[in-house]
Amino acid sequence: MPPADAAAVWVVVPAYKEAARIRATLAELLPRFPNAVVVDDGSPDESGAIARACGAWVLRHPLNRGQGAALQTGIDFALLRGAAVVVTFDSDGQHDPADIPAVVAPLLAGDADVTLGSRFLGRTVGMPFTRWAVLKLAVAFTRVVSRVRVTDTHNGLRGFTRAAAAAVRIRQDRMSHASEIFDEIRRLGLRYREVPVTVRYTAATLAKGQSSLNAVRVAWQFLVGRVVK
Amino acid sequence: MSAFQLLAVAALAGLLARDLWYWYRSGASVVVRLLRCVVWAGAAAAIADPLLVQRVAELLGIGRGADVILYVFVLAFLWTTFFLHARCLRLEREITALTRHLAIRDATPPAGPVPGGAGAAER
Repeated sequence: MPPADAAAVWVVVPAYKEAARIRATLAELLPRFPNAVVVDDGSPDESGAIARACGAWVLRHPLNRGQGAALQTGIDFALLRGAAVVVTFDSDGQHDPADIPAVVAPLLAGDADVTLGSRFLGRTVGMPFTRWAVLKLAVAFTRVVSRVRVTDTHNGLRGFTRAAAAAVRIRQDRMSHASEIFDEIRRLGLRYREVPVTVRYTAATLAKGQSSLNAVRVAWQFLVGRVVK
Repeated sequence: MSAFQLLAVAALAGLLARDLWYWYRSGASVVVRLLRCVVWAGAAAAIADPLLVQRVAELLGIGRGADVILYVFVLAFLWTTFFLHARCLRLEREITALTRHLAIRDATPPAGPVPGGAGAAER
């Protein structure tokens, strides 16, 4: 990706207790995309300090508010810094920065307002069957509830044009924000496109990530959050 | 009417009068205000005339007045639970907004030169 295009992109990285992994994630990310903002979501460890030492902007939530809240904080900051495109990117090393140019390209070309990474169009490394099954159920849930046809739902690698990032409001603080983004896409009539990406699972990311049973709680939070204005 | 009935009806009448007096100064929605008045009035009527509940039960085909009270309490419990949950959710959103404001206000720039260099001069 040309440096001029990379400079227009701000990458938002929500992080909670990622001291063990964030250095490696940023070491891959920052050489390609120097405008990165890590939102330290009230981590009790050194996630924020490490991210700052690596060369990222750091915003610190004094309290843990959840990934959805951290993303919205990072998006607001990126817009204040003049981002033309905002990309969201997980801090645990599951995503490959080499996928970002493909996520950004349709946005810069004006072909889409939002791009959504899809591991099912791309590839996965080390994904357990239970996670595969839960994600497929989540896709079916999104198609029924949000009425958006996608192949992957809870993928943290997404891209937004400046206008789309300003219009989308994430009010679901916790993990249910992923479903809420689809609601927002539909409500605002945004043009979206799925992009094949790679998601890498390791024992550490699986141990820290959401349990498959937690999906029910996430769905419940999403539905209640939809009702409560 | 027994002493208990007198006291209870008087207390409920007082609560109803208070809600009507503060009708326009209350921060609650019209639905909530109305519901509260209905609850005070209904409770007062049920205590003043226990047979009224029995007649309502027969009208609804439930049979016993005590069952009507039980069902009403179950519904009220569910509604109250949801109401409190919604209130907690709104409070959490306000906490998040405040947290976000503080985080952006106190944004920390990168400690050293940025890999790739783009935007470094600006900082």
